[in-house]
Amino acid sequence: MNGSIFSGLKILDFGAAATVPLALAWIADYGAEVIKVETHLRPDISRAGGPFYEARMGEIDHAGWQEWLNPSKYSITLNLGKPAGKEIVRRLITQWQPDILAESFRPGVMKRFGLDYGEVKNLKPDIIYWSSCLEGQYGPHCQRLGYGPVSTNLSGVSYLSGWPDRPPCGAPMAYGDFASTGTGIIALISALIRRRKTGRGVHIDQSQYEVNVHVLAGVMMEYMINGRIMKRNGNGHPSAAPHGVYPCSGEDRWVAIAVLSEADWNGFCRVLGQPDWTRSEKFNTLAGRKAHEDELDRLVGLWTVSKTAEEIEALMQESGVAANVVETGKDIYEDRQLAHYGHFRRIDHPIMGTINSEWPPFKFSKTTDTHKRAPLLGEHNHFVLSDILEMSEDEISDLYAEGVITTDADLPGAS
Amino acid sequence: MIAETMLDGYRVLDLTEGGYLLGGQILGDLGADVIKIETPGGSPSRDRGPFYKDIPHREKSLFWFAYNRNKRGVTLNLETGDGRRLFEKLVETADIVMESFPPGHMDKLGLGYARLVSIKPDIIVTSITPYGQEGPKSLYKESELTTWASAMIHSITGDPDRAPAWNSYPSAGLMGGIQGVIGSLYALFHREITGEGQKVDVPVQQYLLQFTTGAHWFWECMKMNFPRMGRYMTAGFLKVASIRPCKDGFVHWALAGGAAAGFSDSTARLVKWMDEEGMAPDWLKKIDWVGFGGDVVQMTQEELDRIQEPFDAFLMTKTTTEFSEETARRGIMGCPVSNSRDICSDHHLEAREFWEPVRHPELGETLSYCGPFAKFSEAPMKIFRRAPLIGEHNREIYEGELGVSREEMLLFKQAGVI
Repeated sequence: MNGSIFSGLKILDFGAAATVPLALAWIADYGAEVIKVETHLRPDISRAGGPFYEARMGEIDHAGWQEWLNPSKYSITLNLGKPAGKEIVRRLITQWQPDILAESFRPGVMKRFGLDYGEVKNLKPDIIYWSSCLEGQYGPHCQRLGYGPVSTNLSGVSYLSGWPDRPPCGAPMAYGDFASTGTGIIALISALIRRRKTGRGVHIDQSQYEVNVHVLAGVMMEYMINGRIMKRNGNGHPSAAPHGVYPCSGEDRWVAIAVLSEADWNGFCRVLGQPDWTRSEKFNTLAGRKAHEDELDRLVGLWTVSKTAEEIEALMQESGVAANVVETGKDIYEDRQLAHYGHFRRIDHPIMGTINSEWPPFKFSKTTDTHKRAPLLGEHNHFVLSDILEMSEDEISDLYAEGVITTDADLPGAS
Repeated sequence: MIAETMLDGYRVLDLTEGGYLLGGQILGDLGADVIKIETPGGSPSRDRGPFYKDIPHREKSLFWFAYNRNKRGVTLNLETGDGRRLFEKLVETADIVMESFPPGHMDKLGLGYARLVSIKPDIIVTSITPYGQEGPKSLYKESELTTWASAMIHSITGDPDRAPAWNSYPSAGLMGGIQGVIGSLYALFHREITGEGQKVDVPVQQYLLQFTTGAHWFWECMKMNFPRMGRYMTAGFLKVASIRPCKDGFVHWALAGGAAAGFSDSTARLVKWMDEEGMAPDWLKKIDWVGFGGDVVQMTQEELDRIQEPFDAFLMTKTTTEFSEETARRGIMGCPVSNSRDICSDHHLEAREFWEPVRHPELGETLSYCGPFAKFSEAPMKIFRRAPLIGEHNREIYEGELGVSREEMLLFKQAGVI
């Protein structure tokens, strides 16, 4: 394809929603060829849900999450319920010779398609096969159905989010998906490095629940060893004050400020103009500030509320204190740091015109990305069948006629 | 010969602190030889709680234990010429250096990328910072809280009637550690093919932004700032509860339908369970859950709330444990809102042998650790050793590997180099 990191690498993507697709997008962004296998019969939540351009809710071609989750890929639409659909996948495995196959179905579904690790390994002995699901491939709860919100709640993240005087409010949406995106990539690249030396593939069994618990290891040790259940604390920090989110002028505008040391405290007081209360007995020591943290936060809030969040971020940072606007969606697209990195860039889209696409979160000194726009649903059906599998036009027409290749007519609700 | 681990034979020098320490640990789990370099007297990350049996001591930080297993540890003062010389000797033997200093700090020490390349031409240097190595905010003072705020995740977490809240744990750093490993492995893979090393810039803000579940795309597509919804989530333009009270606590279950895999099946299975216990009204049983995905766009909030009433009544008859077992058995998208006690006593994790015993001889105890992040059919990740004590491997590495003499070791110790 070109000289990027993964040029020549081939991946079959059976992932749904976010975890697996995003991981493979970030590999595709550096040169790998990724074919995403989809279907109109059960469109991926990234096409059927989320935000839609022009607020055209539910219109597949206006789905907003594609440039986030599936850039740089090919898309084919197969009905895996039909034997000929499964046969196309088997031919892709034997003829196209993918290096990686990734899937995020419930355990057992790929076996029903005749595409579990054992079967695929027979066709391609050194395949690197990544299975990612909520609770892993085996165990008493492995059939629990789940998208990211389930792993977020199951793994303790929600319990830790919110205010100590209220029930857990939950980390938003599919927070629990994205540590698995990252660790999934790590497993794949490690396996590729080993395969270069040993010629051997591997089956990766990733439980997204276990990934999140793994990340929260310190919380688990606190319970195992000290018998203490760590709880949510708003924006508190065990050894810092002020440490919080404060109201600013404007509607629902907030700034985060973290005073982590004595030097920070001095810098913070300089910005406030050294009001008397900062020198009082109550607040001139960390122990005092922790003991009177509610009152402290109120006093800080009285100062912040008349200024803009941007103003406070700048004033605090000039004085050596960590502060950042609590950024909203709008702020993210106006963020000058993200702009510097070109995290979002304008691209041409065949239906939406000029829109933003999202780039991966790395910068390499010697290798560049190969990022391209995300595919429309089934955009590469003909390319895959004709150019990769070298099928004749007759064969391809038959596949359409038999519903093996799904089309817009197969969308739920289509007449 | 079949390698016993994925990353046998690679050496990593870990100069990171805080949550980023998870990165080196993951490379260690994968079999790399990870050397954690600490300042003499021990890393500042050893001051992070919680502490073993609440004893505030640098050898008893559970935060340290949790994110530094599978590393060997040396102490080294990079502010001294002798310290830098020892570090350069280590770099000669290394494949990857991971660091999380403020941008420019390694250059100031005389250990910038250009210098390290002159010592080890194919070295990979990975720098993890909240905003990245360049750009208008790269030199900002950093903290966990403000990194969280910079990535939008903060603005959408918490109850709408209060300030945004974080998740009470240094998650930004931990995710940055994972991100640093991805960048390092991309560069390592590239080096395996081309022989060329490089510098890797890892801006945590950009990875953490993903954890919003693409909520920022509501602005891109619809010019809508995704709101803070507390215990609720979106359904079309409306909201449904995501965390609900049950008989003895809270569970996660959100009403959903539609064509995308799972949702309508899950809801239909829950209705069937309710019906088995005589708690599903006839009108509820008649709803087509695939079509519901489209219907919800036309509904009012009152209509949507009314549909949920029988579900909420049913949940109040179930304990978190009953709900957890049945949702797993029936393939329903629901679970308890777990805390660390629930997780540590979860029989599913036990059946998967998730927890691993790790011996701490100096504590006279064997502690239970979280297992690796995935199970491999070959070359599995393992826990090879507990986190290092302060300077535990100074002799092994400096004397044994670098050939530093006993006399020099004494000199270095007394001069505060190690």
